[in-house]
Amino acid sequence: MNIWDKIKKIIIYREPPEENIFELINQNEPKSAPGQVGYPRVSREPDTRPEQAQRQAGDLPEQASSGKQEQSADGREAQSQDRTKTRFQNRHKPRSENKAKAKLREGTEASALVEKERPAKEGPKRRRGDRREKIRPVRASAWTREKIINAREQSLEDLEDLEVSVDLPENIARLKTIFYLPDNKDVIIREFGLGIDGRIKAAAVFIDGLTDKQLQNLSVFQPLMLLSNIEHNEAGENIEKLVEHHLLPSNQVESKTKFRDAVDGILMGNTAIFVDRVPRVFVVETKGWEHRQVEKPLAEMVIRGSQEAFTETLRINTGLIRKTLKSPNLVTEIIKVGKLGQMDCAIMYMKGITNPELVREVKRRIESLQIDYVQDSGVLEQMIEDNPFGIMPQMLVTERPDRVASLLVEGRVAIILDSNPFVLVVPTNIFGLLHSAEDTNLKWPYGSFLRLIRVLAAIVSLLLPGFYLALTNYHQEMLPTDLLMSIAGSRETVPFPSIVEMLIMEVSFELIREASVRMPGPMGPTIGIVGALILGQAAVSAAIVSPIMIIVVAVTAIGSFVIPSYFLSFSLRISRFGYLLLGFTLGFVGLAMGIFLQLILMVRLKSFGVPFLAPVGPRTSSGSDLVLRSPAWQQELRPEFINPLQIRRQPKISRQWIKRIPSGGGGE
Amino acid sequence: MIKEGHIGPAEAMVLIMTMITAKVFLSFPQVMVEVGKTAGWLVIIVSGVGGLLGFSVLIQLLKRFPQLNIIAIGEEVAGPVVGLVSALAYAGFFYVWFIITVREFAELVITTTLPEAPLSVVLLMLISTSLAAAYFGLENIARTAHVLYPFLFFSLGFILVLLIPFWKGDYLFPLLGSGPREIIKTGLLKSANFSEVFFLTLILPSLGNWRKLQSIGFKPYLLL
Repeated sequence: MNIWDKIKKIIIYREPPEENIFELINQNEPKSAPGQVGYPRVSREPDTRPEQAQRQAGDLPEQASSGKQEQSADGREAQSQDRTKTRFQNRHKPRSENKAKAKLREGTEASALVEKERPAKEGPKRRRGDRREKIRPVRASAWTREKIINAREQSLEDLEDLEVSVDLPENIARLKTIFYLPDNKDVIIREFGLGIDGRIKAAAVFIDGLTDKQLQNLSVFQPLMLLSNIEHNEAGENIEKLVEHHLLPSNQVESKTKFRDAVDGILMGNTAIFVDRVPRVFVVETKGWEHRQVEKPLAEMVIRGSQEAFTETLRINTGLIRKTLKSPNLVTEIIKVGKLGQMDCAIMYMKGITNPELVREVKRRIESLQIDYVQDSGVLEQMIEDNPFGIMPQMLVTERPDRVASLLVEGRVAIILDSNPFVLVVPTNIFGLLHSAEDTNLKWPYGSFLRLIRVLAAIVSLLLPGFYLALTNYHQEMLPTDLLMSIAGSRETVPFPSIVEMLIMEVSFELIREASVRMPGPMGPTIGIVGALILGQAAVSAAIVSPIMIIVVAVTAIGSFVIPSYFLSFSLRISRFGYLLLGFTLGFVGLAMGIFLQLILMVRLKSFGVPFLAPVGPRTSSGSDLVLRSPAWQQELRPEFINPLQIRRQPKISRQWIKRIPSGGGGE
Repeated sequence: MIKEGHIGPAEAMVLIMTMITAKVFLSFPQVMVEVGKTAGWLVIIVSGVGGLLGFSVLIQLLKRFPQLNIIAIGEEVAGPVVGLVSALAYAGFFYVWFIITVREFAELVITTTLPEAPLSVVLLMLISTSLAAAYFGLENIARTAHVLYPFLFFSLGFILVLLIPFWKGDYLFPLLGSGPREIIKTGLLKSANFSEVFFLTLILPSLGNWRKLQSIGFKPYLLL
């Protein structure tokens, strides 16, 4: 290429040369992020972890040296020297090719060196198309600092790519670094020999307290140690098949190649088995931790209906739903949430009914979370809700499997977090929050009646105090004269304006309510007595409040207890104070303004893209299960606002037997 | 199917209907009686027809420029200067309309519910509420209107029914009041009573196209 060509190329069209790709990527990276100052491309030194691993791996064979290692030691050294050479040559080839080759090698030969150096070379940060890395200088002090800060994180990141080695001691050394052994006393590494002669070494790794000891002894150790019959010269592949297919009589055995899977399995209470000369890990199901049994629901009790509630174990919870809703279309997907402490989060939906867009959105939101640890579904809810500043709850929280099942068949998605007895169901709307599990189980007049009562309760608990203040302060003409006189008479001795009176009562009621939740069980009855004194006769006799005020506050409180969703009740309780002030300052007009504003805020809210007031604003066909319930045989359509794939849930005539009714006394 | 950033035809219709019917509670009936005497109701019908005529002219205009709102059309047709002037005129119209309505509404509030409240407080309350509503956007306002209108119309009907004892049929006579010519004249002059329909032309892009707008614009008349 002559000079002119070069110039032309620069001026006219600059194709990014290979080595520039990395620079381009670097430019795009945020420079301020401390974790990314350039650790991976600073130097080619292997980082501390693999060093440690090497050291330990180097130590270990001495302790646990076997005939096999002595045999192959020489050959392996020669091989690894060759390998180093080829790897040096490969360095300038695309990385993927390199990796593919390494993979090929793995299966056939034992090369500990390759395994050891790989994490240092192929940290996840180097993967982004860095064909030829550029070495850039960075201050030594900064580099050390970064390294210390990121040591643990990187070890976890490295874990993503780390593959199980064929060499048992090396695997054990890795595990020791990963789990910080021997400091960490929970993780047990049990080394043993396969078969009666015990020539082939193996190790079982598990966490004490999470596993079922009996199950482990019977279905893992006994068959492997006592009942197996393995020739000592068996090749790696054969051992692998033997162990997986014949020697582990457990209901779930997974054969994996990545360390990540092994570590996750161990943390879940499974037992990971590493066998020498086999580049795989067998994760055997041995979960058996202590957990609460399935009990009666605490927050959502019903008279007619199932009396089971979720518990703290994910698998029991998914099982409860599946037990209620027996369908092959019911799909459970599991996503891991949390970087530091991983939690399993199950997403359940009905294939063929639930809109795939909805499922995708739920998964997208949960998968995108960059959070250390999710301790509760409440935290998950806050992390994935549409409008975190909206006061209304945007997800339905339930502890009843039957309720989840009935919502799933409507085309919704259930989100179940491990160690959590409350399940989130999305999308929901305000009407869903006012429904209870029992409504559907009752005949339609009863169900409708209950729902009307609940709507009334919601209105009362939101507006009654404000309404009362507006009425007595501004619109006395609306009250019958006698009532007005009696109200005025009862307030005669009270020295405060009515708003102060109301605030005293409301605040003391909130205090009592909070106290009754926080108080230790044995002291529970005390709060009733104290509460009755504060909110009762004593307050009236002391002329602090008027009797009618007590009635208003009590009815409001009962109203807020009627609302089935504890969280909706919360939002109404808080909004109530706003209405109180509005009613006191501007009368009915103020209340109207408040309602208008709250309505506009509610119209804005969305639950996973579905408007919160959905079947009403915007109006869609709602089915006949909104406030009033129609009979079960008339509920032919699923709610349209959640866009299910099949809108019809039962045919026009769902009670096929009525066709058979003989007309006019005659037969057919 | 729920669409984002979009006002459904029903919602827009309800919005306009709410804007027009709200006047029933303002000074509107009194003004009508004043100009139309016993034939005030006829004046309303005539002015409704007048409004319709004006609106159909507008529709013809919008037909030519699909997907443009009235201000964009102004600029397209008459160039930036005249377009700007017409846009300002339009804005001015709505500004004045808003001021008058708010003032009337505030006075209504004072006369009916809060006789001792200062006008400024009531005005402040009304304006701040509408500001908040405007901040949340037209879509939300339209949806809220859609949620509220059953209550609104139910209560309107309720008021009308409860007022039956006060209905006096003989007040309708003489039927033509101060004469047909007078009725038509004042009716057409007062057709601005229904000028809220022009509001639709501003929000055209969020509605879809003129065809929808046409039906949205005409239906309220038939319903009222």
